[in-house]
Amino acid sequence: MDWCHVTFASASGAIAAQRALDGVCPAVVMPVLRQVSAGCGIALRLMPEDAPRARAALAAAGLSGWQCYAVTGTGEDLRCERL
Amino acid sequence: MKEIDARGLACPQPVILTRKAMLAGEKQLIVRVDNAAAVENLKRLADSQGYQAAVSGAEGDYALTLSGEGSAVPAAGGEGPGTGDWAVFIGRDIIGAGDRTLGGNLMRMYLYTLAQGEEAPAALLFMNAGVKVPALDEQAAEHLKSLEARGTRVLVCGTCLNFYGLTEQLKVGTVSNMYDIVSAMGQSAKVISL
Repeated sequence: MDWCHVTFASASGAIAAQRALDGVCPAVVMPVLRQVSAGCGIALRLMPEDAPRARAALAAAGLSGWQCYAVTGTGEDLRCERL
Repeated sequence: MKEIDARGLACPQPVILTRKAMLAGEKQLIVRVDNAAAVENLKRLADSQGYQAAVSGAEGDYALTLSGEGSAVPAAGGEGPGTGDWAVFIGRDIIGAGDRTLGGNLMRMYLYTLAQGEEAPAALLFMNAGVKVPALDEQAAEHLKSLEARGTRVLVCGTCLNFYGLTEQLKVGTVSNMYDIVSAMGQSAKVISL
């Protein structure tokens, strides 16, 4: 896994997650990958080593409806697998 | 040698006066200004117009000696192989009207997508509240640094930075002026306004 892609059920869920992760780990805001959804959405990009802490923080904040994906490669070689 | 005393003049007057003298055929100029931003603006003007610039003095009284033949080389597109001939004007710190948190995230996502894209813009032009993006937003600044490394010119309005008290906080980009920004627009095949 090169990095971790976290998607949410709604934009407000993504914003709440940003708040929950503030001070926990760096989370770069990005659009949801085309490989995950054709729709528009806010997602977060995390370092692989931060994923466990992020998952714990999101759970502790009572957030639901998020999904975590393992991403490898770039461009046409980008692969995305749900964790 | 013609001397221009532009001390006390607001941006972009020093640049306008100097360019007028260059267009009039002056081969050697001494331009006096009172702030570092004006010095940088004039150095870029000199570079773009084929003049050499030598700077002396300190804050409050700088003297730039400009010399050259005035062989202007207009920039075509960006400076890197991955840049196109289009520019983006960003006049706000959020995208769209409505919720500011959502709009701020949309701005980050837009710059992330630009930074990841195959073709980067030739220039990103920040004015008014748009200057808060390269000055205050760490994530956006990283995307802008990535674009800058690919050759995108990131021009940030110095008057606007000064107005918002953000001059010292600028994280990426070049403190610029209306003259440079209008020039960058003119050199672009299209300008997208956010």
